[in-house]
Amino acid sequence: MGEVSPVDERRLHTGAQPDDEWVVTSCNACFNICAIRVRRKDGKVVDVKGDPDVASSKGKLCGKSKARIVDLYNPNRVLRPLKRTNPEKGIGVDPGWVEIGWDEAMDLVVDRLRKVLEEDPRKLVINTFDLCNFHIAQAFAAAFGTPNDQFYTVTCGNGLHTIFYLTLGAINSEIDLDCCQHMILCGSQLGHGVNNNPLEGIAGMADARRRGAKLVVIDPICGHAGAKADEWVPILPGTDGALALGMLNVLLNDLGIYDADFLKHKTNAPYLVGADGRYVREEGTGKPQVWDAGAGAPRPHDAHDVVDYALEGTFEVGGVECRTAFDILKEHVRENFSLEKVSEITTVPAETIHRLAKEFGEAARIGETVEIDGVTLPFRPAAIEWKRGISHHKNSWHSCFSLMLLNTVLGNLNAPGGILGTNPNGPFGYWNMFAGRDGMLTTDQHSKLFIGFDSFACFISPYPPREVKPPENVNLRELFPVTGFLPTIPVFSIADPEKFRIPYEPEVMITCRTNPMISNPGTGAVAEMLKKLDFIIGFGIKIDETLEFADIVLPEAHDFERYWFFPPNAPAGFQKPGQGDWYYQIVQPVVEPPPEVRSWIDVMMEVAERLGLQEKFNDTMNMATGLLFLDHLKLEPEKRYTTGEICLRLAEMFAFIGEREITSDTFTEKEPALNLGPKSVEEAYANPLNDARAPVYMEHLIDVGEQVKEVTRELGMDFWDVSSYNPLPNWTPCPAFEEDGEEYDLFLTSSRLALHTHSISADNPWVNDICVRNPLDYNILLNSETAARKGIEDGDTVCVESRTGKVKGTVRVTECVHPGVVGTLGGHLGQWAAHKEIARGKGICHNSLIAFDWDMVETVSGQSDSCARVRIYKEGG
Amino acid sequence: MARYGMVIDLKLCIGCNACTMACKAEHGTQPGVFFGRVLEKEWGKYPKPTRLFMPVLCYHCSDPLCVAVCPTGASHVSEEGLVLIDYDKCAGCRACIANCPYPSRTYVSKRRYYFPDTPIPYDKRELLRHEGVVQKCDFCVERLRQGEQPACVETCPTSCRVFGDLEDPESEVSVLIREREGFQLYPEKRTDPSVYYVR
Ligand code: SF4
Ligand code: SF4
Ligand code: SF4
Repeated sequence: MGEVSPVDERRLHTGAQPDDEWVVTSCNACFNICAIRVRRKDGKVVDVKGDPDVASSKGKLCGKSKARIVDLYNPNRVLRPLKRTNPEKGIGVDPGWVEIGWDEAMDLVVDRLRKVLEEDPRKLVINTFDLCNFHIAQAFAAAFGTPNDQFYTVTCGNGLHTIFYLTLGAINSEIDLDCCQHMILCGSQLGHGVNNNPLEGIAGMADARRRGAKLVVIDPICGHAGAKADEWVPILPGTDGALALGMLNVLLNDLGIYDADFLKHKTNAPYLVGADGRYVREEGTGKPQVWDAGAGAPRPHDAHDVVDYALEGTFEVGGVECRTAFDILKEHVRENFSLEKVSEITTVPAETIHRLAKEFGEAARIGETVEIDGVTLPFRPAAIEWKRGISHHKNSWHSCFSLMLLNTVLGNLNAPGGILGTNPNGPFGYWNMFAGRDGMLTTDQHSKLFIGFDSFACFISPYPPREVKPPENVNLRELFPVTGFLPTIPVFSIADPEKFRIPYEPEVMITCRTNPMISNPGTGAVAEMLKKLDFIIGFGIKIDETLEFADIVLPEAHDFERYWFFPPNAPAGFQKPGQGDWYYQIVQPVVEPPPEVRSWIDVMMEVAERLGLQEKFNDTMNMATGLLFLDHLKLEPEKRYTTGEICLRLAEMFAFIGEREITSDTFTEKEPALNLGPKSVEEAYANPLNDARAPVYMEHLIDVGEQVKEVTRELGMDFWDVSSYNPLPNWTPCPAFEEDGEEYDLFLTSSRLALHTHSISADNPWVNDICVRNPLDYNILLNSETAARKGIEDGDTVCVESRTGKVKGTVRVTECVHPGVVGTLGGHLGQWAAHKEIARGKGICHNSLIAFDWDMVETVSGQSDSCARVRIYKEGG
Repeated sequence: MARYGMVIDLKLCIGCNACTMACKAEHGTQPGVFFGRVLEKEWGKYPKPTRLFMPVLCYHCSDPLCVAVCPTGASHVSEEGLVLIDYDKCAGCRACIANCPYPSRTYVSKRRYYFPDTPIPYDKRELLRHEGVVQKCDFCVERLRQGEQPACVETCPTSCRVFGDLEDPESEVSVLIREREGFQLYPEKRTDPSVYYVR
């Protein structure tokens, strides 16, 4: 195979292999990558436990992690390369696999890639959600010469990640569970096993519950979080943004509860805005201005001598009449989001909305402070948090912005007890948030962590806005200048490159560890996209629904059989924010893979070498990882490295940054993670100690929207809608809301379970055995009142039909779901791949019911809508 | 002498089933067999329903009805005070199941594997137990003998399962039972379970 056996180098320094030992590594049953120890006895994996000495698990585990053992020994694993013999592709079409040897497989792969490389390298698209190994996709793509390194279909949230970044300086967010006393979750189950950083989240939520913190869950389904909440507030899907603006109206206009001090100093609330919606800028410097109420004069936003920022009022500056952004926002919610109107949209009673806002605002204890390590900080023990449930609608950007404003006006951004970004400030100042263009918050994560790439872990820096230009990338990032995250868009553009003015036809796809056929809305549309590609190179442990479209499938190593590039739990996105230690985990093999199974990273590196790209690849790898900065660690130009060797260099790099040393004890039971010591206060709680301003008014959208309009019109793409490019938060109904509700009278929605993640867990026999016994899991949930109206009884086999598709399943009549929806519990189900003996036929494929056309895409965030209207009826009825 | 016991805090249990999985992994139980599991129930009316997650296992009663009725002596009280089954002696008569007030015991008539034709390395634990016997939670006696906690307790990410000595008034379990009004399931059966719940 021409590579060093991973197990020989498993111990990064020693190499001994006891018969019975606990190997230190990290779990990849989901994207959270908690620290684990895996017990190998006589060459076999026999147990997994949480690492007692690493913060991400503290010896605890969720159910998925232990279940991963069975996947290792699943007799349906792909054990040899497979070649397709049936040229016809489609759902349910037998690919006619034949086993081939590695030599033949590699020749086929390399020859096909060489052809593209010579013709037009941009025709290669890499599709992966191998989170710890995004470096490989980026470095390989850059060496190859294709911009298409950012395509995957985990459709978590274009809007939400971007809004978190603009406001908190980080890709993800969490409530500060260490000291929050009033938590609102919206379409999120933080602390219930299905969010970022789940084990620390569960433990933190349990501690919050022990100390009597209050939890409110707003969700169409009373899932596990709803079940444990002090109050479950049922709501119609896709309307949470309206609820947020209604609550904002109560806080700002009715109760007058807001953190004026925070708004003045840490947001653009005091910025002066003219009649055209733009900032009134200082002549000469072009800086946005504020009104100094003390001096009775305008000042540039960053002047140090402002006596008192005016938050409200109308002023005249240089003959131009203007108002503060806050004034405009306040009026906007007063005029447009009255309790009555919001109640009608959301179905939440007006008095409930008022009470939710009041309790939330009062719990924030505006004005109180707390001292941490000698630093006085605002203490704001109330926060609202949301995830995919909100983001996955056509109003994604505005709904996420609206919800965030509830935090912003209470001044809880990155403050003790409030909403925390996942580490906007890195260890030892390695990366930081700062005041960027117009004083608005931005960070240097991208330039510090990934030199030469505009995306970090597939997240593109959204501020300042990027240049608008004709598209070159299949994710059309050139036409989405303010969003950070663009999964699903390639499904449109690959299917119809001409429509989107992609100057080439994508031809070859490399796909690994992501299953768009199940995870992307619009199953039929994804199939059409895959059929358009001439050659698909897939890596897999099992043949999933996407790999059934592949031309060649290479057997991929299981998580317990391979290294991953370090660090698996990148702090700029996946380590607990707030107080705690900085630390870096490792992923290293526990056992040898079966004889003909290889890690895709090793294979990709061999492919790079065979294509004559070794030097370029090492170069781009140095940039993608940051090794470039360290002469003693950076990869030499011509050498072919193993994954283990690169992994070790990355570990050495982080040790160097933290002035630590990797010894033979590091990444063993003696020192399971590389610990860089506790975070400073500035690292734990960024906004209050920083002069960057968070947005309450997205002024930059005005110009950007005009640019997008201009460029798309020049390109003849008149269908490109720019109506959402508004600086004020808004709520607009999803396309499904506009349809008539007579025939398709219910909305479809889903909720996740702690035992399921992505599409992989559904085929795990242990997971399955537990879920099929739980009353609600895998079933179709219908409110008892709705069921009675339709003559449907518990246990009936029913059809759920949208205008796009139809599925069949078993009904559970329950009180735990909004009467206006059909709910499903349990992630990506309804799978059909021939190899998936366990998952096949379990639950329903939610995504197959969702229409997937361009009208469903919001063109600010690039989010595609997951809303669908459905009807439900008894089979044969 | 110490008396092992467990307290499960129902206020904290989120029904994640990590314990169910840990138990399965620890004991390699066959398909459909669970020594520990989590029951779910809902009641009340929309929009204010109640949904409860309730972990159940063997209650290791001080006065175990299962042991009293077992004709072969397979069900017995171990030296640590645990209710255990000697699989070599169990005749599969199921008198214990009929008399145990709780959903704790399972009769396993035939050995089965998760991958029907292919036992995986994991399945060898099942081979330690015979076909045609009654199986159940053993409080992870082997782990206890090595000074570890039961697998479900170690794993539970909310730490809502607490294990310890019920005889020691200062142990965490005793304090919880005292301060939070711990209760046993079906006290009227007079089995005196070693597992308490608090809510
Ligand atoms: S692991 Fe703990 S929280 Fe999860 S279901 Fe079991 S007892 Fe409940
Ligand atoms: S719970 Fe049932 S099986 Fe367990 S000791 Fe009590 S009576 Fe016996
Ligand atoms: S004590 Fe052990 S055997 Fe009993 S339920 Fe817990 S893990 Fe299972």
